[in-house]
Amino acid sequence: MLPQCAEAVQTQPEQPEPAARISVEKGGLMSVAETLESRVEPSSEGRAGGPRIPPRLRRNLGSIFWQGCTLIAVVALLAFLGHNIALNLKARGLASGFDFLSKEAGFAIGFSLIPFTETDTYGRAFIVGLLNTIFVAFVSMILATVLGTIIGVARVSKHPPTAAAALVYVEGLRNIPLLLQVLFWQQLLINGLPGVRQSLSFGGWVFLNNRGLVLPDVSTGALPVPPSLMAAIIAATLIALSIIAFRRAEPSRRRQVTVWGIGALLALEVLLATLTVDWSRPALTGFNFRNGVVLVPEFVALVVALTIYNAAFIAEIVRAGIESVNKGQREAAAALGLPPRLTMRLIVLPQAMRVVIPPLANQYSHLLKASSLATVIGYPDLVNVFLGTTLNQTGRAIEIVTMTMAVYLVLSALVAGFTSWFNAKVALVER
Amino acid sequence: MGITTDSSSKSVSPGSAVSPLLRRYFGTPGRGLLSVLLATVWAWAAWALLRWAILDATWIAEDRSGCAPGGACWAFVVARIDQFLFGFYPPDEHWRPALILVLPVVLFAVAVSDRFQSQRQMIGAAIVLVPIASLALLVGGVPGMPHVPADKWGGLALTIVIAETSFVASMPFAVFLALARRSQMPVISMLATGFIELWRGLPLVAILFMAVILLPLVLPPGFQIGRVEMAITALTIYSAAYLAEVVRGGLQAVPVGQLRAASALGFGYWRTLAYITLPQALGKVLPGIVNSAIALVKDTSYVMIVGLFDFINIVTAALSDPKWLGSPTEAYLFVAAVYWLVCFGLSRWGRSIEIRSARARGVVRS
Amino acid sequence: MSGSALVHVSDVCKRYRSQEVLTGVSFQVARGECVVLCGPSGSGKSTLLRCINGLEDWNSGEVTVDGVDIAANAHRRGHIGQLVGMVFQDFNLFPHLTVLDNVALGPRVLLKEPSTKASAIGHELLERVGLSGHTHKYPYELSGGQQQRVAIARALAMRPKVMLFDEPTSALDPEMVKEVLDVMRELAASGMTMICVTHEMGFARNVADRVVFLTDGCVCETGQPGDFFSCPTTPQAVKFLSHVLAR
Ligand SMILES: Nc1ncnc2c1ncn2[C@@H]1O[C@H](COP(=O)(O)OP(=O)(O)OP(=O)(O)O)[C@@H](O)[C@H]1O
Ligand SMILES: [Mg+2]
Repeated sequence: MLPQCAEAVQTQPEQPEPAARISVEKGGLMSVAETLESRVEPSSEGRAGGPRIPPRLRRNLGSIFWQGCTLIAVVALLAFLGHNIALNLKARGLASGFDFLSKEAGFAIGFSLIPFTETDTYGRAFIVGLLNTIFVAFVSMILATVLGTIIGVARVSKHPPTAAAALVYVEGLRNIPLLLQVLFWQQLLINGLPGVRQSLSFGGWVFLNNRGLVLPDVSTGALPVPPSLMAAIIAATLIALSIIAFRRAEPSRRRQVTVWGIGALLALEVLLATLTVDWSRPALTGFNFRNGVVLVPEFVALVVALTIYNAAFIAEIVRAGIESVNKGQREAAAALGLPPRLTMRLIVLPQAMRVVIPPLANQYSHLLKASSLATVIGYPDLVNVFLGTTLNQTGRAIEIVTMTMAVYLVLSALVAGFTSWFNAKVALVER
Repeated sequence: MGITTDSSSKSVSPGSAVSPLLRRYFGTPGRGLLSVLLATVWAWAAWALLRWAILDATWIAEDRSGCAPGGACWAFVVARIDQFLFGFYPPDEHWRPALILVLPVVLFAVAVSDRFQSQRQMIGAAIVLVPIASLALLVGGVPGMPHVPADKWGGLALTIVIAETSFVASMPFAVFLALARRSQMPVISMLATGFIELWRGLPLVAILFMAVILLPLVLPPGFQIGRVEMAITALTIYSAAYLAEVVRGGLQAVPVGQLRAASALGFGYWRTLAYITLPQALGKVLPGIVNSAIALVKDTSYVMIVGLFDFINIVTAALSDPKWLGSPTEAYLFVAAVYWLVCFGLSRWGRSIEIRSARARGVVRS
Repeated sequence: MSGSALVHVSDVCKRYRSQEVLTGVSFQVARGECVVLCGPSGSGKSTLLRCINGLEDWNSGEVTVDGVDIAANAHRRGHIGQLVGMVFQDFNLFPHLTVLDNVALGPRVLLKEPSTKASAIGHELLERVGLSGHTHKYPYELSGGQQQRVAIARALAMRPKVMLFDEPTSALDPEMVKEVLDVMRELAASGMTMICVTHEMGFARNVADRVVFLTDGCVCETGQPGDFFSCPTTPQAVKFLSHVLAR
């Protein structure tokens, strides 16, 4: 056992890893090395072989041997599976290749953000599904974050009835499968809401019935040139002004300047949009609504379920974040004279952010993946349109599965990448 | 102390020092209003729920029209309870799925009771044995228990068997993946990382779709695989990927000194793993493992994608029975209540483990 | 003296569940006076300070500052913040704000000063505590003594009538204690009313106008620093002083 320790000490300088890993693996590598030794040179005199093959080399050889074995095994397995796939595809007479993407799909999609008809291609169907997935996930993320933050703050309230209400919400909803909630809301929207003629009206602009949620539409025609030119000029000026202000501002004010700059830009855009764009109010004609955007009940059910379910988890994340903020911080704020609401907004929440963001990003990635439950209730998301309908019609299993996997992996990687970037950024402001 | 002369008069009229409890509810007008409002809403909700679910409810009826309007129609659930719990299992053999439902409850009761806390090994063995026994009960094929084909399985019993089996199967797999990911050998570590991140990056719905599409393709021609096996395979891999990350967290939390001490005693890699590293690592992340188990229980509902009649799917299917049209709320509430009890029970258990281990470490938390 | 007293504490009792922490504390602090509050650990010094600025509820008795009843106004934090400033043992600077923002936050948000004015106040106070070169650093970039001076500036920015110090130097390394005490001494000289809990007996002897000695939740002895340190009257004070001065 002494030689082992000596080796461990020797290894440390050139291994950048923390000592923990070295110690964990040391025994493993040793036994591996011994195994190798006995295999490669069964005739050598055991330990006495040490001087001839230096320990480090011996270990490296062992490590390379095992890694080679693993690699070969994995490649062999993949080759075996690939071979089976080839055989199976042949037996079923299925073609392969990505040419189907440019072929006519021949099916309609009930809900899409870009125009889609039966004569469009499978490739376009893929885009429609992808956009639908991103759309439903994005809307739910925003709503769930807002709702979750409110409930998370209520959860730590000193006012017992409020805290209890938040607790009941969280414990009640996160312990029920999301799928069940999706089905429940779908049933409720379809069976529990009035028909088109008796739509629930919200101020005459928004309507809810068992065929979906009707929102006011904007006329889709391009902006007339003068306003858009004006918008461009004003926007450019604003951006230039913001940059100058940013440069001049004291470092501690810079974030504020940025926020104001972006805020002014957004306000301008919204103003121009409302001024120049034609909002058309939905109107009931005969058995349906004219002039409105209809969000199908599947979409609404999915958004409601995703929002409510994920808000429960986000609330717990927010609560943990708030509780992670040192009690002294609240006291200092109170001693300064900040009332509870301002303390929460100015002192606690900004600090909680650091703790909240990583699990929140995790939750977002979970939400994105869970949005594929759309399939179950018939909302045309990526899985439904592509992995479902398109695959059924074309039989290009491998290609379609690969593309779908790639989409989700890329989206997940984006979320993960953002998280680590953010972590690296806020970790700087850590005590 | 000599300064306090008239302390009696002061304590009679504490002046501004209102009881803190009262101030908590009625400290400011806004807060008082909120208290009253919330109390009203709470009371109203509780009363409305009580009336709808119990007082005005119908428990026995021939069909939906036999249910009193305005109250819950539990009669639907009552009429179909056999199917919801046992699927299409032959009535003569109902004791088998019934036993499947009872086993985990008994196991849970044993695991939480203080009397058996010292018998860790026994509980561990039971956790492995119960799923195997359940699966055996469901399949049958021995004298006294005739074989029941897979298309007869369904309901809560099937859900439980799938959840238990996938969880127990995913555990060793997860430990293996976690160790591989922490390996110093780059090829092994990269392969494990890639495998874990691949499955964690994909939606379970897509994985189940792929199981249906791909499993028949990747298996040698002529090799058949049933839908239950597909579902269990998919859930096992999916759960293992998540569990592996939990286990890895535990491995990272084992202090270096422990490993040094073990190797000083002469423990090799595998012995250190078996006696030192894993027990500590798994102990540390037991709450995380319980959380994964809860997630898996909820995720089991996704098996309807491969066409199994699990608890939720069998209820959904029953909803289209013309005799009972319009009963989704009651049916789904029943399902929700069962899932809630299971998941909430598990989460309380996880929390109690956390508190117990915190206490053992001397860090008592509220 | 009692006519011009700024802080009245009369017969304050405070219980944590069954434990009596304050058992009828009474004393007064005059305008411009610097009082050092001392006593053995657990005697309720921190609790008393926290009652004086309404961070803590108490069970009976009354606290007024400048004629304002603290208990009745405890929920109006903005109001109390302008009456009573507090400096904590462990600084409690806001880690997500720069040093300047830590100081300017109160004036900007609570006193509703315009940003530029608030910054000017911040700069001025930081200058006063000797930190004008550090305005744009974050708290974690400062030493403990510097952080504590920022905390003093932050409390002063609200222009309080009285400043409370709860062992402001006991989390500091010895070489940093002096810089904080110097700031406090200067503050006392400028006429600020102060109540300081501290174990720095040198400070008590040289700067304080009066020493209030607390044991077991009540005022046991009070007097001029000279008298208190040279001939304490109660046995508790004798014992306490023998411990503290022996260090
Ligand atoms: N939040 C609390 N809950 C229960 N008891 C408390 C709490 N805070 C303080 N106490 C008790 O009140 C008593 C007085 O505490 P306090 O912090 O005021 O003492 P102190 O004089 O400041 O002591 P030190 O010099 O150690 O800071 C102590 O016995 C303490 O145990
Ligand atoms: Mg104290």
